[in-house]
Amino acid sequence: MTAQLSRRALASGALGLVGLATAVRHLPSLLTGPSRAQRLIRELVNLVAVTEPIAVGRFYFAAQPGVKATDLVPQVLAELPLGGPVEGIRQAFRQKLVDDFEAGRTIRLDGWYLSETEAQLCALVALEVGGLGG
Amino acid sequence: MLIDANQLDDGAVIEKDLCILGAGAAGIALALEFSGHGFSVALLEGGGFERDAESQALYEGVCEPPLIDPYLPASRLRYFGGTTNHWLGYCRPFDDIDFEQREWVPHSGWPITRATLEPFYRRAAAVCKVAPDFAGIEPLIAEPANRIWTFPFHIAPLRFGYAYRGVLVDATDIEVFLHANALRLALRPNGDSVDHVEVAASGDRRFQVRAKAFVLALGGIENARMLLVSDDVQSQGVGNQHDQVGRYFMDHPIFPVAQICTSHTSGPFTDLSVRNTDTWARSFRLADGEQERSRILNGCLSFNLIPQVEDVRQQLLTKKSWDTVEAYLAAEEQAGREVTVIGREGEDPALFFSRFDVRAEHAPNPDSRVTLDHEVDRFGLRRVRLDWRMQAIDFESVRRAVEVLAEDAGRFGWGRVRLAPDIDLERSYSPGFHHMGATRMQEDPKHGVVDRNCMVHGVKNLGIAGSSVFCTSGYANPTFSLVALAVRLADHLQKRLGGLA
Repeated sequence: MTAQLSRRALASGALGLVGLATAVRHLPSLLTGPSRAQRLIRELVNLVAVTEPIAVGRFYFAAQPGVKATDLVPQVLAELPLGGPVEGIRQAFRQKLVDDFEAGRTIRLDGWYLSETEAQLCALVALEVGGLGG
Repeated sequence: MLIDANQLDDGAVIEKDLCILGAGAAGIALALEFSGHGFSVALLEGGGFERDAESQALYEGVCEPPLIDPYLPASRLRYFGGTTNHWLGYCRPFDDIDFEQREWVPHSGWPITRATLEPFYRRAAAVCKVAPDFAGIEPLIAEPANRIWTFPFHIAPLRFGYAYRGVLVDATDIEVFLHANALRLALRPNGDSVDHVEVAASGDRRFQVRAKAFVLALGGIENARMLLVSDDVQSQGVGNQHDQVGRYFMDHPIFPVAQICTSHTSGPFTDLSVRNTDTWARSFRLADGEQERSRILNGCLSFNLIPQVEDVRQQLLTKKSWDTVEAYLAAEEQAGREVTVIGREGEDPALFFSRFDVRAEHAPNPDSRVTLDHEVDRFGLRRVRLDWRMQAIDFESVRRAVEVLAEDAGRFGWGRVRLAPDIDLERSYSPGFHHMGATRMQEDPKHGVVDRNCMVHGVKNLGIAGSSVFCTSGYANPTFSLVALAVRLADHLQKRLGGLA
């Protein structure tokens, strides 16, 4: 009984520490709003016209297993003008998607006809938010 | 005047200038055009003013493949006003390309053009009670590389039976016969013209209608059936010396296989589609040049975009700290590049979503045909056997149309398109209930049943009104075009009957 209580207390304490660490890590965004990474991802996902990006991202992994977030991020963000106003980022990302279609860099995922870049973004979302190895 | 055929004497003989068999959209349009022009007209309707099961059962038959059970009685209505009694009312002329001979579409090409029908489309608009201002087809955007065109449908579900019952019954030169079931066209012995039509009332009574001219307006399938069952003088049936009657049957297969997702920043799809109303709907199709390049059929893409209620993007924002992205941004900074991501205030753009149908042109196919079954109905007439056939081009056209839409939606930033994955198109369509082609119009009697004036080859006083004369099916609902053709046939017959008088 005592040992069980001790283990429960220990586990509870450990979870509390993890929770505290998470809260500390997110403290800046709680105080100041979303981080720049959060804002950036939000802007880009807003430009992808699929209803379920996580589901689509899962199909990407089914087609290309083993891809890591560190592989995807540079491909999604490459050539975006990250130093300027967000409208410029949006415009560049839109153009990137159009360029993909113009160049035939397209992919079929669950029936959706997508540009490779937006498919990679969906995959990143599936990985980070959808619990695929995240 | 209104006459219930059940009240006629057995063996009665009616004599008129014109006898119209069938009081659906085509028959009623034709009768209206004759009213007040000095001709006597009999308009025969097999049913009554309301639907009844006994009359409807006469439409039963065999359909292969059994796409919808029962296709034959469910897709047609056998009472005054005909199938307009369940018509959705979509009105639009056929496109120019629908009339053209396309070398990549076997058996395409009409003996008339869209321009020939133009004045009759305007008159058809008056009959169908829609505005005659049919906007043309235009590119979705003014960009040479754009391959998607857009156009509107007028929506006016006019019930011809209710709308015109009073006018026709009050007309002094038209006699409307209800419960008058045509049994047979009786040719003169030399077979060059129709002498009379034999008619049965609901019971055992029989009577004849003699006329100077006759028009079959029984519907896209029954027109062929009536020619085939009238086989006592010409053993293959009337007008069937070249075995053309019943062939080239077409419907509009509808493929509910695709989806589209846009946002209000996506442009034309969203802007145009959300403006649809109860009387007006916009649709899309591939440009003529793209149809030729891809060697595919015409077809129409329609959708009604609706805003998505649930927005996953807030969830994406708050659930994750995006460490990997942050690490990338930090690395960029370390490399001397500026990273600010100056955010904006404001709402996220809403997504709009719609499943959509492809209503496809059905390729003309001589093996897709109406024949007679060995079973007979209660009047002893052989029932219909319908063998509706599709070909590879029918399915490939749908697949390619969705693909081109998806490609252009991507290239121009309109949104994204989804064709259901692993879809078996050959098992994924339903019929549009549009019966066309079984007595097609061709100048050469070896390749068709009626001439450019809708008169049966070799039978000088017999015309056909209805979508059975169509050579190709386009994507537009057939009613508006068949009314235009009926109006045109009325003009032709009035000249001929005037000459005979």
